[in-house]
Amino acid sequence: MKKTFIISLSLISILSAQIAIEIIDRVDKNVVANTISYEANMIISLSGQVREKKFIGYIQGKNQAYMEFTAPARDKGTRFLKLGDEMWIYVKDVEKATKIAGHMLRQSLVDSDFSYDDITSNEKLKEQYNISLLGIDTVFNRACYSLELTGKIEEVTYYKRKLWIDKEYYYPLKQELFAKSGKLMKEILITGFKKIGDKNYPTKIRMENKLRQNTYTELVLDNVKLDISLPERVFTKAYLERK
Amino acid sequence: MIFKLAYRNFFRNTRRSIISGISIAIAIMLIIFAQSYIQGVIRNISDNVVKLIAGHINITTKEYERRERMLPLSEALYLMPEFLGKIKTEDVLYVAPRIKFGVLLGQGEMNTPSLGYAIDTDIEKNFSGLDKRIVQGSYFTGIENATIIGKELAKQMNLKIGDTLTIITRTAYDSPTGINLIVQGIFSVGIGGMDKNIFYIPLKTGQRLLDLEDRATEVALILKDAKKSLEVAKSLQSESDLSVVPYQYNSILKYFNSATIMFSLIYFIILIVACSTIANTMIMIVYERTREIGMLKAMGMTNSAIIRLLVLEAGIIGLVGSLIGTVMGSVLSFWMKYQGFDISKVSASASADMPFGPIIYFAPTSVIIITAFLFGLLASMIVALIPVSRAAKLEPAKALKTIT
Repeated sequence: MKKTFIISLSLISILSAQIAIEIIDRVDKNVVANTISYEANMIISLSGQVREKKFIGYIQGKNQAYMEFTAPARDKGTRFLKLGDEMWIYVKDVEKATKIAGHMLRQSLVDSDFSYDDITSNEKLKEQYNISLLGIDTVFNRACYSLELTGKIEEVTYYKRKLWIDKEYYYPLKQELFAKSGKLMKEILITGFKKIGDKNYPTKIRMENKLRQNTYTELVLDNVKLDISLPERVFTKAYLERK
Repeated sequence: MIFKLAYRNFFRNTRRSIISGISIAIAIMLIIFAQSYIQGVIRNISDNVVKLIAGHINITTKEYERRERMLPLSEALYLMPEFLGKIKTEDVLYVAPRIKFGVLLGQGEMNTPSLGYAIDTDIEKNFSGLDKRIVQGSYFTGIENATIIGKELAKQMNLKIGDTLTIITRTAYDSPTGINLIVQGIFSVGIGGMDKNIFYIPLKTGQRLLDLEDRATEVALILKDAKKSLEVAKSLQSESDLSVVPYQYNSILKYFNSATIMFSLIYFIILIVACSTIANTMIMIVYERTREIGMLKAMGMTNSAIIRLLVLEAGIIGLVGSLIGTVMGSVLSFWMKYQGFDISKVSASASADMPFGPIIYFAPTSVIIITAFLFGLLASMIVALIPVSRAAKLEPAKALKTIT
């Protein structure tokens, strides 16, 4: 009797883990692409003061990303290039690229709630996290799978994540991101998505940095193109420093 | 009469008396020397705080003061004529607006976080002494994108006069910004932290770079009379909702002043250890002179008179020791006052990241000297109380029978 009970429990556990992996697989299929090109509008609210910034971006794989600010005027022409763990910034008045130290990738991008890493991330969750299914939940009146992810590689930005995956469209409606200490660092809500090819790609994202008070950032993506061919020269320092 | 007796008893075993006195002398000499050094350090820090960091009075917004560690440019002051007119009272000699900002210094693949100051180069020249601390190149001559950088910073980034220094930072509106600066001068103030981490640019250049037109993160006031800092700060504070901080309340100075309390504990311990020799001496005296004490009591000397006699004997030893220690300590300290002590020669790390250096001029004061002398004297008499009170309890008949 006891043996049967233990075997049954083990089977349920294995099945549950398998379901969790399958869910994340479907999420990764939606939110990760070989290449991404977009136009972004970022609204940063700091203690009631609102700033708006616009930029364009290109991402290739998980190691290459390029961003260029297009508005407001004082930001226009500022560019970032990420290659692997390294990042360079180009500012008009300096006329040459300056490397930013690796650990700064986790710092805030233009004082928003997004870090450089957050904006340029294009990695499959399955490759970075161990996944477990917690159950079924409701978020914004939507039925969701509730999952818990724990980092399995050293380089992972957020050691633990809690995800609420929309059961119908398989994108993370809500995420809570935690440090290794267990402290809640950020909360992400996806408030809009677009069907692009066979993907339900998030196009409206609200991020709150829980380490700051009274702040949030909304990112709206427009003209999103996935899995298109991007010229290699975009991900070079020469392109970053072009006049 | 008792004093005469005590004085004569000092010479009954002169060698022992002198040895006890020497331990007090050494302790007092060390205490005066150490306190003079610490006073010298405090004065050095005060000087640096006033000239290079905060002026006699430092003015910021209250929100800037609260978040100062984050260098919040958005909380900068507005340098309106009414504001400047209000703070330039008759006690104020100079009004020096400054912008303090964090940057990333770029040099090829290398980048280093650093601290920049945008300053009014003409006003600062009058009191900071920065122009006199240029070791290569020159002070600002009106070139817009010129910079002067610390010696250690120049060494670390391999920069020479005429080289370009790229800085990347954020404006007051959090937009990334940067500028190529020309290294016009290299300074050495001898304070590790400053020579390693700081560079200066003209105020107008900083205001343009950081989107802070007609603004500054702080205003430093230099007064005609430094002693009036507290009074002037109080008067300015009462008329505004800004943060007005006199240099005496500067956090760096307050930290070092509070550290001196810890040093007082060390002096106290040194003195107690030194006084233990006197305590030992008095124990031996009471033991050796038990019969004598018995005789004196039998002849009618009261307990309190016995105690007074023995305490006075200890006091005379303490007096001699304190006197010698005070003289030696004072001579050494005054010599170091005029000679100065270059701590960078002792160890490069001694002044690294400390807000003082490199040459400390000792600052012996009459308070230090007199207090040390009196403490030596009093401590000698106080520690003697324990062993001599035993003498007061001796019964004359028993004492007279004692064989020593």
